[in-house]
Formats: sequence, structure tokens, C-alpha cells
Amino acid sequence: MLTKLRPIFALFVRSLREQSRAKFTPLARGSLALLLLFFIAGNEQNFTRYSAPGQQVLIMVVMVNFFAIAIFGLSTFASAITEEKEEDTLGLLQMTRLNPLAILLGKSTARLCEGLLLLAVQVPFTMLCITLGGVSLEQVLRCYAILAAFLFFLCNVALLWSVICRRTSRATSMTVLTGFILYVLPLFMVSIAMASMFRGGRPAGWLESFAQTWIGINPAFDLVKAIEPRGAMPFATDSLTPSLGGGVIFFSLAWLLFKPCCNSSGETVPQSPKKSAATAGRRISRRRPGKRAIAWKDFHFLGGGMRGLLIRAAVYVAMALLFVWWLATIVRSSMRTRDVGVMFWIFGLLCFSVEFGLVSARMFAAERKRKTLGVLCTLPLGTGRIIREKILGALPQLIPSATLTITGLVMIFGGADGRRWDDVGFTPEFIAGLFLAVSAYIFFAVLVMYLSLRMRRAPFATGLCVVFVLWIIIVFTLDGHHSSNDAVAQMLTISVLTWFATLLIAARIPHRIAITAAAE
Amino acid sequence: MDHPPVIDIRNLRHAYKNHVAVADVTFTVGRGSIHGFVGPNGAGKTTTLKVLATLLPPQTGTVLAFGKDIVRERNDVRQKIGYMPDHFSMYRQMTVFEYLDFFGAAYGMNQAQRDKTIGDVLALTDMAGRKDDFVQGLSRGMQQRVSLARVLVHDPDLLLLDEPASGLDPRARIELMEILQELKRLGKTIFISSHILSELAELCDSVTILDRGAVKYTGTMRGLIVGEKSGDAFAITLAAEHPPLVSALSALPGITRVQQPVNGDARYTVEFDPATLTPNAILQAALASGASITSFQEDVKHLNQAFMDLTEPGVRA
Repeated sequence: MLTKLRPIFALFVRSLREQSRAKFTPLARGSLALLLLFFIAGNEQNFTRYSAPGQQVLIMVVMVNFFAIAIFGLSTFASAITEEKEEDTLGLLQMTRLNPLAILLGKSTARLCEGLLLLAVQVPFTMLCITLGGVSLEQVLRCYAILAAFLFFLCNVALLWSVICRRTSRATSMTVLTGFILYVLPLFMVSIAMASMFRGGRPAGWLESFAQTWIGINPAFDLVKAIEPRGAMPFATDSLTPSLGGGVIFFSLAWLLFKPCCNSSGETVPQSPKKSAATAGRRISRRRPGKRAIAWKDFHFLGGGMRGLLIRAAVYVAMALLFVWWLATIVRSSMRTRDVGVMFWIFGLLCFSVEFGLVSARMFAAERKRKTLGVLCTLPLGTGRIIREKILGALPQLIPSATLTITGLVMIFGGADGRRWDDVGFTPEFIAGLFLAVSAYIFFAVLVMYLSLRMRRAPFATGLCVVFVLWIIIVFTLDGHHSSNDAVAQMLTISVLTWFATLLIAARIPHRIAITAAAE
Repeated sequence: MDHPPVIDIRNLRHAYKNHVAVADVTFTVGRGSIHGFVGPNGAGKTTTLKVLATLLPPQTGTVLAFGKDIVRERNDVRQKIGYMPDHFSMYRQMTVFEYLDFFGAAYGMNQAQRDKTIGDVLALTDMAGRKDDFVQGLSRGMQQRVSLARVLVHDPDLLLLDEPASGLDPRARIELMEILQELKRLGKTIFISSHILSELAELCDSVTILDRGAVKYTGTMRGLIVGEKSGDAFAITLAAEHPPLVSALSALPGITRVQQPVNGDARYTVEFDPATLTPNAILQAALASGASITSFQEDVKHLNQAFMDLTEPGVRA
């Protein structure tokens, strides 16, 4: 029996062994434990200020975990099978005695186990919340059960798309879309339906029950319920069964679709000359490279060129308008220019932040993936110029989201009903806050760029988590200081420290590029 | 005026943490030659090539290309070399022309120069008809040709090729070797690392054999395969053993040694001083002795044998 099962678990066992040997694993577990201790210590100091300090810590811990699962899950699990497809090695795996189940278990479930272990390692530390007060053992365990089930679900959704799609980027996008359809879209639909029903004054029993069910299966809402229970709750919370059941269904689908979708014979089939020529014909109209050839290459082939810019701009504007329409439906009144501006600004800034990180991550990750960094480094340009040109080629990708953000600001401050620039009041707090925000953005970009040269997977997610955790630590450290002068001084100090850290990391990037190029 | 050697490596050493990849490498490569770089897996060939390609700085020793230090005058050296790694490093979503155009521009060539050079290198590599095809749609052999075209696009004087024929079918290999011969005729110096010894024997003027990070042989290809003999040597193979042949040949002036058949294969080896005796005279003397000769050829070692003699068995620890 065991001999028969051995091939199924061969890859799985190997992956677990590799993970246990990797430097990242103990580092991540240790960092998590330290972070938890930091939260607890921070709250212990403010023990007298909160009625339930343990609950405060638990909220913080759960928030960090939920965020990390969502970000890391997308970047890690969506590449489980696509990375093999991209490297043309899936065929080799299929040639061995490994069947689809063994490959799925080895490539995805091993990563899931790593994630679950990262959750498990926190439990003993989080139990210290109970001693701080305001939270029970059952609540702590329930929160971790919801998080683990959510991780299981997300892992298998991403696995399914990784099986179906050819590229990791496509698999990630489809996983995001699935998450959006399952968790976010109903929010919009329910709210619109509710608003229209309130206007008509009709009863909405079915809608209420749908909304209740949907809120129940959403792990985010379920976590809120678990932390602040109103009355006794069963341990098997609302989202637990749907998450586990959904995960199993998605895994089964991935297993079923593995053979039809992962036919390795297509890996090395050359593109048909007809198709190739047709597409080439469309591309020849592009301007030819000039003095800044690397910037030209990145603009056209990493960012999608002018067509990519226009598509992104159209998508952002359409989504922002949809968002505005949704809000107008909810509030049941016509929106003023200023309100539309606020929507544009928020949405634009969100898109800008995400794109900023993604662009920073892809800048060198794409070269690493294609093993082209070595050839680039033999150009008579120098590493400094390569970096500058790569940044120059990446910046235009941010134009659509930046334009949307600026348009929002103009609508807020420029419209007839808008606020005046004078209202902003360029106080020292405002300027210090702005400086801190800019410093944080640049630190984030440089950190992600550096991580993309060190890590094969998830540099963007890791960078985001590092910044998020640092932000929480800063918020904890600043807590309790209310004087305006103190706040300005603190923000400036943090900005200076951020710049110092940014410069330290930036100074390592050329060296890292040289090492990566030589190691290809 | 004598030109400096194109490659001049002295006492090169490079280690990765505790593992010494290249221990003490010294050799030179002359201008306009094809130099083979041979060694078992893990011998330090790729490390040496990466140092030459300016990707790795030498930890000790000096490495000069065209008389210029590859660390201090890195960008000058880079302008004169073309490096082709042992893996495909291509932008697969570009067309062949775009790919070459990008590298031409990155080397600072203007559009007119690029148009001319790209046309030339595509013609040389026989890829002119596929210039609008996407790189990702090309076969392995064609991608290798595009890689070679990329290396040539800025007209470098020195080509550093790491396993250029690996993974190619026999026809593509032969065609690649013909292209390299043509490049040599155009005055390029070619430094080629390869495992295919038979092809190197035909292609290369000189060779360096590396084993466990140290140079085991560096010099002409002929010097490697002829070995350490006092003069020239020829092998005479007969239809059957013919004892009078030994006395007939020994009587000739300039003969230093006549080796009799050892395995019953009727193969006699004759060593002689080329200053006093010609192969023609030896052949005439052999025919005069009444021997039935089936072959008369220079006695050289096969490159495989030379390689096996110089390198140690087993995997490097």
C-alpha cells in the first residue's frame, strides 16, 4: 500500500524537504513570532488605556494574517503549475512516474502546508492575548481556523487557474477576478438592489437572506464576527465549511482539467509562420529604438507600449465611473464634481500604488526569468545606466493611474463646488505627512526592486508585507503622542530613517545585478 | 608591429565561497584564431568565460583583452567582445529584426549602421528570410543562429561562445561550424567552449584543456594531437606483417625509431627527423622492401585520447 502511494507523495515530500532546508522558512516563522511579541508588548504598555487589550492584539494579528494570505496566496499559489509551463519542464515531470495528482500535491499542497505551518507557529504566541484580556481561547482558535480555511480555498482557486492558464500573470489575474466575483461583486450588487428596493418600499426577504448568506461565507466578515461574538457561536463558523468545500471542489477541478490543459506537446511547438507574420505586421509600425534602447524595450515589451497605456487608461476610467455610478445609486442623489473627484482620487491612488509595486517587481524579475540579465550586463553601458534606463522605460506605465489621481485632485479643488487650494492649508503636519508618504513609496519601490533580484517568487507581496508591518510598528510606536510639534518631528525622523534605509538598499542593487547576471 | 594577444590570462583564480572554480589559469590566445576551450564538467570553463565576458571580476590574477584590463577598462572591452552564453537568453516576444535592432541600438549604433549590419549578419547566419518571425516561434537551431547574429551585430573582434552547438542536430552543428570558419576568414578571433572534441579538432587552431580549475594543456591543436615526439611520426599499415620492412626503414638516414606491430595489426610506426628525411622517401623505401601497404598516414593521437590522457577520471569533489 505504502509503495503504491510513494510516487503520489514523492514530489510533495521533496518540496517539504526543500522548504525545511530553505533559509526563508525559519526567517519567516521567526519574524512572525517576533512581530506577535512586538504587538503584545506594545499593547501591554497601554494596558490601562483599553478595556480589552487582548482583543486589540487579536484584531491586529488577524488583520496582518488576512492581508498576508491574500497577497502571498495570489503570488505563490498561482505560479504552482505555470512556472513549470513557462520553463518548459512540465513535460519532463509528466514523463516520470508522477501522475497529475502527485504533481498537484507536490507543486501546490506543499506550499499550502508551508502557509498553514506559518499560521500554526503563531497560535501559541497569540494565546498570550487571552492573558491580556478581552478574548477567549475559543475565539483565538476560531480565527485561525477561518484563516486556515481561507488559505486552503485561495490555494486551490489559484491552483485551478495555474492549471488552466499558460502564464503566471494570467493565472494571478484570473484568481483575483474569481476573488472579486466571489467576495466583492456581491457587495456592490446587494447594495444596489437594497437601495432600489428602499426607494420602491417593497419587502426584500430573499435579498436579505442572500446578503446574510454571502456575508456569512465571506471570511473577512466571519473574522469580524469571530472576534466580537454576539452570543454563543458554534466553532464551525459560517465561512469554514464553504471555504473547505470550495477548496476541495477547486482542487478536484484542477485535477480533472490537468491532462487536457497541461498537454506538454504544445510547449515547444513553433508559432505558425502565418500567425507570426500577421502579428509581426502589426508590430512593425512601432518606432525603432534610439539612444535609450533598454528604456524602449521595457516600454514596448514589458509595459505593452502605447496600446497597453491606452487599454489601461480605458479600463481605469471605466472602473472609476462604475464606482461613481455605484455610489450614486447607493446614496440616491446626484454626485457633485467634488464627490466624483474624491472617487477618482481614491481609485487612482489605489491603482497607482498597486502598479507602482508591480512595475518595480517586474523590472528585473522579467530579465531574471528569461535569463537575459547576463547579456544586458555585457553591454558597454554600465549597471547604473541599465538601472536608469529600466526606470525610464517603466515610468510611462504609471501614467494612466497617475493621470486619474491628478484628475481627481483637480476635480476636488478646481470645480465650482470644490474646495479651494487655500483650504488645504500647507501646514507643517501636511508637508511632513506628504514627505513621509513620498519617502514610503520610494522605499517600497526600491525594496521590491531589490527583492526581485533575490527572490524567485513573490517579491511584490514580500515588499508589501514588509512595508505593512513596518507601518504597523510605526503606528504602535507613535501611539499616544498628540502634540502637533511632536507629530511633525516624528514624521520627519521616520522620513529620514526611510531615506537612509532606501539608500542602503539602493546601493546594494548594482552589486546584486552583477551577482544575478553572473549566476545565470 | 606585433599586436598584443587578444586574450591574455595570467594566474586567474576564482572561488565561489569555499569552492575554488578556477585555481591558477594562465594562457593566451592570438589574433584571428579559433581557440578551443575544453574540459570536463565542472572544470571551470564557464567561470573563465564569464570572467572574460566581464560578468565576473577576477579575484586574483590579471585578465587582458586586446591589451586592456577587463576590470579597469570594462566598457572598452565590452565594445570589442560578443558573448554567447550556454543558454538561450532571448526576448521571445520580439521579432528577429527587433531583437537585433535593440542590441544594435544598445551598442550605440545609428539606424543606418544597424540596417546594414543586421542585413549582413542575417545573411551570414542564413536567417534573412525569417527576420519578421517571432523569436519564440523559431526552432532551437534557428534561435542559436539568432543568438550568433546578436553576438555579431556590433561587429566585435572577439567572440566568446559557450557551448554554441549544444542541443543542435548534426546538420545545424555542421552549418554552425561553417559559419565560424567564415567568421575566422573575416578576421574575428573566436574563443569557443565545447564538449564536441571531434568538431573542435577540425575547427580550432589552438586549444586549452582545463581540468579541476587548472590548465592541463595550452597550445596548438597539432601540438596536442602529435604529442611529445622527438620529430615527426608516420604510421604504415600493411595487409600482413612484413619483417624486412623494419631493417629497410632503419637503414635510412634520419630515422630515429621504428616500432613494430604490437597487437598483430601489421601497423608500423616510424619516427624520423624531418630535417634529413621526407615522408616520401620513407614510403618509397617501404614499397621497395616489398611490403603491401594499405595505408600511410601521419601518426597522431585522436583528440579524444589526448583529452583522456590529460584529464583525471571521476567527478570533481
